[in-house]
Amino acid sequence: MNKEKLIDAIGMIDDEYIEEAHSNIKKKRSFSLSWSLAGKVLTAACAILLAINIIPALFHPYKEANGGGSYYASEYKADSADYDYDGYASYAPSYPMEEAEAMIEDAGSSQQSAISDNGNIRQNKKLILTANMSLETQDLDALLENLLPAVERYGGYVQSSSIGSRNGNSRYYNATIRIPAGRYNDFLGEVKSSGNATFYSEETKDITDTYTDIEARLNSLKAQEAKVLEFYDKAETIEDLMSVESRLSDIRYEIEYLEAQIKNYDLLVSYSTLNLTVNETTVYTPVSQNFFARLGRSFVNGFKNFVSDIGDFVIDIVYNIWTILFLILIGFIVYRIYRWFRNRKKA
Amino acid sequence: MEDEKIVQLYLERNEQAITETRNKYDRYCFSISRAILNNQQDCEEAVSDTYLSTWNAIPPHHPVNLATFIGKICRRLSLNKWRMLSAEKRGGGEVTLSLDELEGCIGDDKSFSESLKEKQLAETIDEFLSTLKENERKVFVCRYWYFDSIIDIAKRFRYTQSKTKMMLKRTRDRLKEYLIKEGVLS
Repeated sequence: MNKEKLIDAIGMIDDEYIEEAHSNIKKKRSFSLSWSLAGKVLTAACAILLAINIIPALFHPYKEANGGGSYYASEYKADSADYDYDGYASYAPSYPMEEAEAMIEDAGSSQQSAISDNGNIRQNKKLILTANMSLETQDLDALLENLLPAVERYGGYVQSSSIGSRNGNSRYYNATIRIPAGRYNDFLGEVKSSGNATFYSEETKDITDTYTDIEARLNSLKAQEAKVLEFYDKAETIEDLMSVESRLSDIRYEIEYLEAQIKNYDLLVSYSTLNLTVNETTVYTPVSQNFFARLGRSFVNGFKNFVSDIGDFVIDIVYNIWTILFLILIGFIVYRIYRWFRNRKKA
Repeated sequence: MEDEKIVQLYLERNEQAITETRNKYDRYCFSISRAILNNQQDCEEAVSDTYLSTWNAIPPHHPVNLATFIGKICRRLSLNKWRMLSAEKRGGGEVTLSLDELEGCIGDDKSFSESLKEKQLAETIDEFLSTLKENERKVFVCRYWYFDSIIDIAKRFRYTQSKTKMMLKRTRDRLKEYLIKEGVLS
């Protein structure tokens, strides 16, 4: 058959042509693959960038009211404690909301007993008390008017504080308050009664060992100082005098350093620290153990958050609009280049 | 392993040569054979025969390009097998389609089959291929050497199927003209 003869003859064509047709496929594939891959990678990169820009707005909607892109680190910390009640675990030790109030009551009595019943232990033990508390109030200004004089009345001071608003409608107040350890419980009671407590946690750090070590070291250094002073009086040559003096200055430097440490510890022990967050709200979060009530509350709160999140999302989109447009432009250019290369190869 | 070393093994009559060839060119041979035979068992037989034939062919042959050398053997053996099978049961597969397409180039010119040896015809086709544009040539070889389907070729070259068909049709027409011009066909 003629056609079969032809097909056999084609079978004997030059190796070069056979290889060319075969290798072309490989080359072509790798080329197109690399370009389409580049396109995909870029698209993915754009998507990721977009996501990075926008998604945080969904999960962390609390920003400054002006819609600025920056978050305050301290605000983040406060958020996790005051709004997200499921986030207790991040604080150690922590208690569910229902227990918070009881805890505050207990805190008073337990410390009181520590002082009265075991006055010696309390005196000998060096304990640093740090507490975190969240409050809700319907009138922030009134609360602050009561709170700040109370701090002074109890002999304490406000170490740092900040006030701001979220989404322009609800305000918050963060403060680190130092109160003399002995009067802390009374102060706590007053603070608690000024608003609706939603969260309380406290941590007591025992630094007795460290403190005793420093004290012992200080005593031994002081003894050394006295010894060296004796040598100083007896020194006869200039060399002796010089070496004694150098040793003395070393010892005194160390003594000063340790004394500063002791002072710092004394301050920490004698003043308890309360990290207070006050949120201004229209409706207090009710204390409830009923499952359905909690369910309903979650639903309503979830919806409120959702509405607020959507608002933030839109604001974020507008805020990032130039970045988004720029990325779309880049994606479009890359796509056109890819198409151009593909068409050129076709032709 | 490099082709030269494999060929050297064949020349030394070392049976390792077949193993190495199988490792390197099994997929290639199967792709050629599958386009022709369309049946796994037949393909396996054809590919096994290919290795045996290669063993018998080197020496005396000393191929410079081992890949195409084996490819050619595999194509020829697969075609032979296809002919044997299609004598019993006609039709089907890309080969039948390719053959039907090529029939138009040659027609029933009796002088063609008598006057020309295969080798000479292959040389004429080589010359013809050298006159073609690169992509036309590649498509032609893909279709009539590798027996790739139109769909596959269109995909590989990113053409539409109709464009591929038209390109092949034009190339066949030109082949016919060329064969007439060269005096192979009257």
